[in-house]
Amino acid sequence: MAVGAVIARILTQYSDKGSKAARKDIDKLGKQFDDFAKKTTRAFGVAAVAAGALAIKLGKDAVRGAMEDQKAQASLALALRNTTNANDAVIASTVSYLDKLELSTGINNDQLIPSLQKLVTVTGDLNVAQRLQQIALDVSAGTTKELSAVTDTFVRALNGNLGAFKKLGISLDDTIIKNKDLTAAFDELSKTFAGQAATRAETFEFRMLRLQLAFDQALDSLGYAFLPVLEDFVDTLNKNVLPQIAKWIELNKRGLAEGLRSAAEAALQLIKQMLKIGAWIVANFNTIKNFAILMASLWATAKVYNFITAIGKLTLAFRGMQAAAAGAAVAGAAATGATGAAGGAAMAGRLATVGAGASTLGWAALIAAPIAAAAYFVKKEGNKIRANRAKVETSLAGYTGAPGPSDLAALTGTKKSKVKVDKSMQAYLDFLNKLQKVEDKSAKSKKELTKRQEKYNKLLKDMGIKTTEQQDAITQFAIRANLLKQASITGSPLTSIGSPTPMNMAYAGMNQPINVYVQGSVISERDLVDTITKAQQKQSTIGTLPSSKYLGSGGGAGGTGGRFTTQVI
Amino acid sequence: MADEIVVLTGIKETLDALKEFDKSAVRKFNKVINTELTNAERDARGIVAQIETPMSGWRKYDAAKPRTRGGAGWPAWNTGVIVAGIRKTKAQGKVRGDYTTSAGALVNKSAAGAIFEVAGRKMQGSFARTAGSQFVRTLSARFKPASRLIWRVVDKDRAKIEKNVENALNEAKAELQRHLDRERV
Repeated sequence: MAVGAVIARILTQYSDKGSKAARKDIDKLGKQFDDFAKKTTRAFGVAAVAAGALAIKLGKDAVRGAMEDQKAQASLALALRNTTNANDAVIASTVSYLDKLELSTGINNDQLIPSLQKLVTVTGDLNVAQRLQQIALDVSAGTTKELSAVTDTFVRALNGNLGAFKKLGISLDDTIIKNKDLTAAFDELSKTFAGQAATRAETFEFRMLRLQLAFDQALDSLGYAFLPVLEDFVDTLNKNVLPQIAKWIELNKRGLAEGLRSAAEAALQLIKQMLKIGAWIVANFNTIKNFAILMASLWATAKVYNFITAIGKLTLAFRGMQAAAAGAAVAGAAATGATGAAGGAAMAGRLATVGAGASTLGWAALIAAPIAAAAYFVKKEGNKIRANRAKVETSLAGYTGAPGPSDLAALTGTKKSKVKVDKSMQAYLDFLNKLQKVEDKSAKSKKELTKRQEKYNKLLKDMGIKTTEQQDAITQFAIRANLLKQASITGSPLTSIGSPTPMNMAYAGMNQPINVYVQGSVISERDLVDTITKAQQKQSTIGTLPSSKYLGSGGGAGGTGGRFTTQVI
Repeated sequence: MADEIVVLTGIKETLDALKEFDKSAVRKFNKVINTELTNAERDARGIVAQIETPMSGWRKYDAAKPRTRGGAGWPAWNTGVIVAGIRKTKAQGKVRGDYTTSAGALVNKSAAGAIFEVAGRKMQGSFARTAGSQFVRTLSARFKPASRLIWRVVDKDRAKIEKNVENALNEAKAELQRHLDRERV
């Protein structure tokens, strides 16, 4: 709507857009409250638990401290009453004195009260005892001896054994000891160790102890508050709970005894079983040990599993190689004669077997297999090769001179051609044609064929062509390669000489075309033959096509139909 | 302006659901709304058309050298512009605090039309001797106090429009219910 425009709303509808936003805000606010409440509860909960734990700890310590303190004070009070006829006020003032002394010296009441009690018992005078305790505290601080030890020494001295001071490491005048002058002895001690306790109380260690003692006194106060409650509780237990329990036990003691007996018998049975198990363990310790080792090695097994799986796959692969090699051996035997079958299979199988054991030797099987398979292919597919070759020758039949563009087009399927084939090439093709016809029709003896071959070789020699002793298929192979090269030179789409263009060769007898990339200028027959051979080997290796055992070798200038020779390798 | 409004609920939901069964029923409902809005628009524009100029000195064309209103000058009483500025709209607009939005409204967009619409709405009864107060007094004396254009039409016809639209909506809901009942069977 326009800014500043007057808008008169006629129809008004409810929109949940705003309410949704409001609800969202409320939910968000509620969530924030919840989070706050949770956090607060958690914080207070932690604080409460901590406070509870502290309270329990404090209460426990307080009650315990109060009980111990009460026990010591009761003993002191009894001693004071017995020796000095002290009343409660004196006892209370003594307790207060000891509490202050505790805080000022950093020595716990656990030591002060027994010390004072001993001294009071010996001297029979509270004031004297307190004075002697002050000296004892100084001596204790000066000699780093325990207050109890010093007090005991003092007690011995008070009983006439002043030599006890020497045992404590305190040197006194021999005259004092000899005369057993206690006054002189304690005067000397008080002079010698004057202020030692106060000085020690100001050290950091004792300041911390004093702080701890102050806290303990507070706990004792708390404990004293708890004690009446506990006393009531104990009274209740003694008067009400325990008699009822005793009564219940009296009434049910027989059943309890039976239950206990059953439980004891069950426990006994359990123990017996455990002993049996122990005996079995002892008897089968080795088994258990092996089992434990097995269990412990499970994790390692899991890790090794992957490796084993990989090994399994490798084994399958090697077995496949072995089978391929065996088949190749058969093929090799068929190609080279029956006598070679056993040897080829044995060699190929051996190679494959060795290859299964060692990856490096496994390559030998891979190499052996296609070679043997190629031999088998040549033998088995020879007739098919011949038939296909015949088709090619048929297309070339009727040449009266160099093959023209139309002739090459019939071969390659295109009409482009600019290069003429040399006459010598045509003559050689005619010769091959005749040779093949003779071979196919007459099927005469090899000797006769050899004679004919020699005759034709002589003819070729006269024509300037080097003769060969190759089999017919080999020659045909090379011829076909040369023809294809010629076709490519003429601009056929099969190849494009001089540039890396795929050459699609529909080789006779092959189910699939071989794509050969020809780089650079193809000027010789050898280049083509090598390229084709490599392609054949490559495809034979992957198992799609057999490879020829016989490789043609061409020489002379290509492209113009120059002379060439073939040989068996 | 009306102090009370009737809030229609379930327009969008009803139409969205009804669209799945009977689009003609949806069109029928929309036609009711559009008709009512068009009638209101026509009435508001008719008011403008009857007024040559609200005052004799109110120019019909924009000033050549405007000096007031921030340089734009006092807006001319161009009937065509004002009429064109009055139009109906079904834009929902922003949802206000009462969680309602517009299902149909009239808009008075032009400056002159807005002045004519609301001038003196907040200062009714002022007797100040200023030009502005005199303008409002004169305008109110001639065309009654604000609001004078679209709101006047809306206030006059609101009850009728709401009643018609409500009936159409109820009819659409009933139609939807019938379809739903049929689907349930």
